Amino acid sequence: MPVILVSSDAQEFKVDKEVAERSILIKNMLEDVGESDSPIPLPNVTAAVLTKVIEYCEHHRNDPVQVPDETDDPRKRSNDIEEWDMKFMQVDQEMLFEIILAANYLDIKPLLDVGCKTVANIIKGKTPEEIRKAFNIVNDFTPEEEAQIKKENEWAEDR
Amino acid sequence: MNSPFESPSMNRGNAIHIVLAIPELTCELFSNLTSHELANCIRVCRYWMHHLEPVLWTNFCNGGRRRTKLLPETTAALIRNLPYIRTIELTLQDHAVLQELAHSTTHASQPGDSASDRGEPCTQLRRLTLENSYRFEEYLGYMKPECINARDFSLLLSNTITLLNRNPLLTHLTLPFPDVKPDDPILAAISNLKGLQYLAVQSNGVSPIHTRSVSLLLRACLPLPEVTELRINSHVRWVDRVHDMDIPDMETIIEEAAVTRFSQTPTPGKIKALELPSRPESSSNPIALSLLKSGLLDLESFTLPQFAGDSLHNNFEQLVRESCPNLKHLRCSCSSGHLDGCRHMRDFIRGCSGLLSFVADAFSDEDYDYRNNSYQPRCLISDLVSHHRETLEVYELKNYDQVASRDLQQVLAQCKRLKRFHVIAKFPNYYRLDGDRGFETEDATEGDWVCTELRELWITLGRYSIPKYVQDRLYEQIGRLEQLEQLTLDINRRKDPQLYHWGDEKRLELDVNMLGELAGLKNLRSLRMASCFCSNMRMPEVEFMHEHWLRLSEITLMGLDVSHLRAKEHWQWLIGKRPHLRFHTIEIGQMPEYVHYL
Repeated sequence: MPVILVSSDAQEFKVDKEVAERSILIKNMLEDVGESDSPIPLPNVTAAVLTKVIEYCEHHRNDPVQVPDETDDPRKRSNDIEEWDMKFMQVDQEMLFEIILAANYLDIKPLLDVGCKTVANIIKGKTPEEIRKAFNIVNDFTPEEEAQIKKENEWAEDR
Repeated sequence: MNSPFESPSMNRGNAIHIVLAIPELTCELFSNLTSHELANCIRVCRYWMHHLEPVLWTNFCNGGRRRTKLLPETTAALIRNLPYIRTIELTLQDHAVLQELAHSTTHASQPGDSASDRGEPCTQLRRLTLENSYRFEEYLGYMKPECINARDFSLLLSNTITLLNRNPLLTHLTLPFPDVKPDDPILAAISNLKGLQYLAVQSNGVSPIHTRSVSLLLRACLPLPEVTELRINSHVRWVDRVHDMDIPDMETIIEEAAVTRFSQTPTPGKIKALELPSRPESSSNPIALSLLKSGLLDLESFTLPQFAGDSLHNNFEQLVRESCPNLKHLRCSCSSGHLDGCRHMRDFIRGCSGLLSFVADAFSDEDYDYRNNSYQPRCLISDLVSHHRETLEVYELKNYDQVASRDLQQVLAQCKRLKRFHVIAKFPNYYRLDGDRGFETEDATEGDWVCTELRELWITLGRYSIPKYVQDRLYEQIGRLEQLEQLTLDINRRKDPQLYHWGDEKRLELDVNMLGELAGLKNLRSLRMASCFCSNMRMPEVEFMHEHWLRLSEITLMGLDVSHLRAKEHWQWLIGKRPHLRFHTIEIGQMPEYVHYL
């Protein structure tokens, strides 16, 4: 049975239940409400973002559920992203962060992971100046301040 | 001028900054970065610094090989971030920082010294690691601990005790351990850490610790109900047995510890991982034997101490069978010339069932027979294969001395679940010039390898003796390992490491014909080579790599400066084609895989 999702800008999306249930938030809502035709409002997600999220959930509808591993050290996790996901994430930055926010709100862990890895991959290997450029950020440190911060954290430098 | 540490004002409207404002998303987003990358992020702008400093300082790690000399500026940031620190990893050389950590806690709690002056104290620590730093001694071929003077060491200890007393949530502790008397405050501090799960003690690099101290330490930590991993570092050299007179009776200590431990919680955990000092004298046996016989262990991982044959349990194999039914990971050291052909190890290998990993440092599978002036096989590897071939996934020999090509072949041809196979020769290897040391003879290629799930392979080829047709056959076998992600091709260095990239290892050069056998390694990500393998590579070899190894992201040269390679046109071509391909150089003796600690 399909489920109707309503974006913040009042667009309706009809999706299969199993697709919608990739979102733990929606899954829990459906469980709480029981059998019902009433549309589910998602006031934090715009239609444009919801379209992308649904596209992701459609593609991953048959993925096994991720079991969170507490012992897993996040720093040792691989930054590999599947090819389809990588293409899926080729969007402008505003959309990228919207997707991350939506994945967080809708509780879609694998999508959140892919989003975060995409951002991490943008940052990796870049100097502070290159990071600023990548995210269009203004440097509001004085050169002296920046030099001091560099010294403070020198222990973290690559060796 | 605004202080950079004040609340941020600019850059708020930026898309990424909406995400940064949600703390759990900040953690998620930056958990994929290394501390180096985080440090770069902190320098981006005030807003980032404000949100990311706590993430970076969660793990304040300046230990081990990463260690750098801490600058005075570090202290300011340290104090600002004390409440965020969960993990500290330092070497003894950073004892001044420890003083700062301990002092900050004192100051902040004193009246008149406002919290904003000193920041909040450090009371949320989960992991504290204080370890030796090491220096590579080229002429000795091993790493030697760098010492600190006795005054600094005692100050370090008292600061450590202060920190331990203020951080009751600590779960992991690694310490240099001094010689202690029964009423030593460090023992009391340890025995108060009710949540402690992991305890490792090492030598302080100055004086060896005493058997008595080990007993006292066991008395302090064995009753702690959560302790499941206990490592008393085997690099410790114990003092002579004259002092063993004062050892408290081990049986009594263990009995009392079991009573206390089991009376605290209804279902107390048992020790799952244990490392005991390696010591071929009889007095380490009582500790190991008493522990094995006690109900305190349910070992999954064990670093086996060396036993002297004369005091070995009569039926050790049976004792192991009964006391270690769940043992999965076995580590040991059994250098050549050791007594009794490492009988205890054979018994251990035979006594346990279903080992997943076997790791040995300073391994030799031969025993020198002084009476007949000859070498006798110990058959440790063949025992391992015959008892654990169905389960073995990790097989690592570091600093090996004598191992037979035939035996190595047995591992690869019989252990089908193998994921990692590392066989790394001693550096430098100069004991004998005859006999097998790794893949040297045609025995190495008898029969097909069955370990098709292998991910990591490190093989060491003989530099003089390995015939061409054996090499061809080896590459043919390697080429069948379709899952392989990391391949290391190494040679057996002899006494003079200077000879490493000269002369007669020309025959080991990899040309495109040999590489052809490796075309099937579609998952290869990392290729590491002793320099002789690549010294003569030209355009065809490099093109081959580009064409067949799509996932290759790392090439490491052992003992050759990368700049030699970068200067060559064909490598430049590859770098142009694969901008993300990283090149590394490693000094031979300083590779973690070679490092031999005193």
